[in-house]
Amino acid sequence: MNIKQIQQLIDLLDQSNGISEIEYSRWGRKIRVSKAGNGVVKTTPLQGHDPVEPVDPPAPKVAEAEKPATVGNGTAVEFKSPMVGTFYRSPSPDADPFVKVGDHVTVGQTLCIIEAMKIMNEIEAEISGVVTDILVENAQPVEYNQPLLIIES
Amino acid sequence: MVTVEFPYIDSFQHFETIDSTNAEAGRFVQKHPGLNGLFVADEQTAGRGRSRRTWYSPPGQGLWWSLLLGRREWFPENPNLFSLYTGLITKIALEEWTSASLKLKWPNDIYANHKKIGGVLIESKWQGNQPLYYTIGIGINLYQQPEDFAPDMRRAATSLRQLNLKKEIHRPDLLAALVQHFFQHWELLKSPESFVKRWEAESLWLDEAVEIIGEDSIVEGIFRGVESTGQAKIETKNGIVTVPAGDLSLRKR
Repeated sequence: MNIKQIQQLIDLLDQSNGISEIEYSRWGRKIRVSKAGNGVVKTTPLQGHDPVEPVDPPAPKVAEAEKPATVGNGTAVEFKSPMVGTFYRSPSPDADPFVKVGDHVTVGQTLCIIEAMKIMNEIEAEISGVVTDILVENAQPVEYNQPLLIIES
Repeated sequence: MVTVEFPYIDSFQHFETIDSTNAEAGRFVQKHPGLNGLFVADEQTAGRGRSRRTWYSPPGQGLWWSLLLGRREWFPENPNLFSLYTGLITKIALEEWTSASLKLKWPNDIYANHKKIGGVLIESKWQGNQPLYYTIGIGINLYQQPEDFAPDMRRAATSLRQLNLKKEIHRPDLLAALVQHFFQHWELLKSPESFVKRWEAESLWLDEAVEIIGEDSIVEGIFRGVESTGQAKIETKNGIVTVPAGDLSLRKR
């Protein structure tokens, strides 16, 4: 997939009203383009490794901490990493992610795995709500207390 | 008849066949939070390792088991060292049965004659920033002959029976020894510096040219042991690099 095609996806999403996310898959390479609550479009390469660099979001992302505490009707809560490790969105490289933007999650539902010194730590939600943003890409290192996703309750 | 005693274990369960003993431990703890358990299977139909790689666990050929730590007092103080600790414990227990030289491959595989004899998969569940339990899955090859392994595994895998034995292999006794050592050496986890020294003394490929293949990078250099955080130390052309995760292998010349 080339930059032009990604740009087309972004334009498509930008101009649409009801659609908040487009996932495109070809030969095992996937890319997801999603619209955050504030209307910012971002791209997330998924498991496959696309040789093309992900396109920067059109507008710099507002630092999560500076986001208003309330978005929409509910309260947006940052779900933070309890440890240093590697963030995984799915149980194995070819499996579906535990959660996607827009999913409703309940207390006790697994949100991600953080691998730390070969311990696979499954992290469950401690609150219920809707996942409005996923802030870290799959297989990326995360720090202690780093916000991983936003749940709006 | 199993008559061995298991310390600190609230529930012992043996299965002729199960998907995976780690998975069974996960199901058990949902119903019985706060308990420690021991889960053993003659056969696992979906034994697994890191990233859900398959761990081949045919009927009666090995010790396929999991230790569930649900009791809070047995949550490790230094979880970063838990993988290394489990490897070390497994080695100590196996040495009651064999005089062969066993080595630990970072972070937690057990090797004999440069072949893998056992592996570890530790999983843990957290709710937010609170650990709920740890499951330590250990697979040890016991009875396989070389021809019992698939052709592509033969060069890489071995079993206890293929080594010099001090005494007859008896699965319940070996399991008891593993569990006993696991709890008995717990204090080691509380002093990372001395624990790491102890671990390094048993390490495979110390001071040899190795590579660690990570998610999207390869680190090449001389293996200089581990940090007190459990990370591997690799001396590269640009100095010492610490590596948190990846597959360690000897560098082919």
